[in-house]
Amino acid sequence: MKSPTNEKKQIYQQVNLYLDNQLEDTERNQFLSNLENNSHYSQMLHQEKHFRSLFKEKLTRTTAHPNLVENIKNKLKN
Amino acid sequence: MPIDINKHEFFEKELLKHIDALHNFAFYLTHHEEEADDLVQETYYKAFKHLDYFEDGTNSKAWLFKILKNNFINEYRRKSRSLKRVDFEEVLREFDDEEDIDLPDEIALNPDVASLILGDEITEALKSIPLDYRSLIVLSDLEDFTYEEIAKILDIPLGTVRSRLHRARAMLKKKLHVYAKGLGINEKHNKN
Repeated sequence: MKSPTNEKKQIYQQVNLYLDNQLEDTERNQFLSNLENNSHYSQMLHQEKHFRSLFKEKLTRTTAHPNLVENIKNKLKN
Repeated sequence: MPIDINKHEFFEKELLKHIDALHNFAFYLTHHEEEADDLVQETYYKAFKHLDYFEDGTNSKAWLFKILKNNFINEYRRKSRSLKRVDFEEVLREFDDEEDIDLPDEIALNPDVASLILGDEITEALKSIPLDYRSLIVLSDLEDFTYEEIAKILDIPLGTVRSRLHRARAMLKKKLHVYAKGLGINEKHNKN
């Protein structure tokens, strides 16, 4: 019998593979069926989706300074 | 590269459009704006030099990321003075030896808790995890590269992408749990 922690880890892994489009057809069907029948799956999926979108939204991103683009273009023209 | 297109025109239209994404990746590798600038410049010079080898239909963004990563590993890291020295092999041994992944008790952050965590904390948490794991998160969760593309960019097997990415996300969440606790934000707090 699986311990609750191991089951949680397994669900977590499946949710991530599902969101990363890494499940084979049969695994994906099984996952979708689990999603309908097991509230832990839907809860974990909701949390992961939310976390991923939050991560993208909040993470500081740097951008290249316009001078950098010009420097590159100029150097390559010479 | 399509033979009917001018080299400079192709470079500017097809490659320079990825400069912000490349710069951001370089920043998360080096932790330093100016070093990221240098790394991006060197990447573009090298890409231009090898443009004749660029095959039509290749994912140009992934091609550039691979050049940048190679640049970083082969030359840049050795030259950089400010970059923290990391024994990659040691780091990889430490984590890859773990058959099981040490996930936090609350594997997925509660959305209410996660929403209270600020961008600075997410950024610091990402910066604090080992380089190889950090790279995977940026490539996957920020840049949306597939596992196959990441495997090619980083020159690692597909299975390694899968396992390391899984660990990388767990590490990130662990860090964020610590931040959340430090700020007094926790599950109990949110239920009240």
